[in-house]
Amino acid sequence: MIRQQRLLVRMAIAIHERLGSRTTDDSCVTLPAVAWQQCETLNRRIRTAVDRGWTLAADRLNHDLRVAVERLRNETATLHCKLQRTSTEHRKATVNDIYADLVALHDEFAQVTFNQRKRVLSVTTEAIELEGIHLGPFEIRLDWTDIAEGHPHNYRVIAVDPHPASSNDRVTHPHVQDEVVCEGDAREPICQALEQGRLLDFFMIIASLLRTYNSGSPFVSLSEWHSIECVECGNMVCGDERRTCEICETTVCGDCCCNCTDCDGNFCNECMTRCGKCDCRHCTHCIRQCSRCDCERCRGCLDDNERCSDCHDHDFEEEAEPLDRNTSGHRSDDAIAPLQPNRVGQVAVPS
Amino acid sequence: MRVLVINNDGGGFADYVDVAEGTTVAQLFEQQVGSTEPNRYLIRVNRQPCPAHQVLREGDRVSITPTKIEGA
Repeated sequence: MIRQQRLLVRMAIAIHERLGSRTTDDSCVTLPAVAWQQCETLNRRIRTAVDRGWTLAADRLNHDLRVAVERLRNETATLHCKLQRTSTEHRKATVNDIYADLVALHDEFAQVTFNQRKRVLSVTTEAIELEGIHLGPFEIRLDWTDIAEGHPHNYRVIAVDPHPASSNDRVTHPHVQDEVVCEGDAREPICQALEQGRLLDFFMIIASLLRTYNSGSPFVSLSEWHSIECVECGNMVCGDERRTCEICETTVCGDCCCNCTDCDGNFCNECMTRCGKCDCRHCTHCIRQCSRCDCERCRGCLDDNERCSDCHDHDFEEEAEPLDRNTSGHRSDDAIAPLQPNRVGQVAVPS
Repeated sequence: MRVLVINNDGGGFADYVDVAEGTTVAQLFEQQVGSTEPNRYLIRVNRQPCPAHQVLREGDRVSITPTKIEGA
């Protein structure tokens, strides 16, 4: 027996032992309380957002709630199936079955790796492309420590060469977020395959799921895979419609993009401000503060000394006043006017 | 004779079924799935790809897995 076969036999025995070590009592079930609690929390936040008029936040929370409800639905469906099956004897894979599955995995997948010490078995799919969008290969990594329990999260799907959605780098596949698959139709077959120790079926089901796109409920749809959410209106924008704020580098759509009349750059609404004098909108880089009163003005509304018109006038008056006053306290025009001779009345009176 | 049928479509059950001698893979597929589109499934006998007219034998393991499974 060659070394590889010995390793596979040892692996098959170890997995079979774990398969027979079911620790939980089928008559005791855990209700999906955490998933329900998450739905309640999100719902409460949505109400708060709506009450305060935060429509963009409400939209995002609605999306999160949809995902949370889907999770709750899946967990409830699993529980329902589990309760139905409690009285029936499961068909468990034998050591020979598991060994044959391990051998067959090498025929189905280009790369199969296993680590008996860490109780991990993983396969790597071919590079996956859906509707013309390259997503790269995925590693399906099964932790078979609790394989008999049929846990929903004892495997992960890891993008080997990630090409995530532009709007969310946690989404590496329309149905994978944070390395967790939203199983949909595959949920029950996956649970059954894991509980019965049918490893080949398990990996083939996941691979089929990864090669399929369900436009009905993806985390990010393929049509918006290269789109980014506009920070202002929340709409998805892509390609030519996309603008990047030159100050904060956020993405805005063409409709929400603001143009600075001074530098002609593109900016988001947050990075724009109004001149207090002419009321024109400028980017925060082009708007200046008056060197005297700190009020905000555009370049055109400041003088050469960076003063607003009010401060300019005020300073001008202050500079002029000392020259205009004489020591006696009379106005200077009185001082320089020719003296009027007494009783002659021939000299013009200064106005 | 008895063969093990694993249907990964829908419920994903695995069970032994009685079939007549000389039953082919295509006939078993039609009995179990009722679909007229076997090209939408990966059908394996004893974990190996097989032709539609392959005759089943006692104890064969037949797995039927859809090529398209929709995630959510």
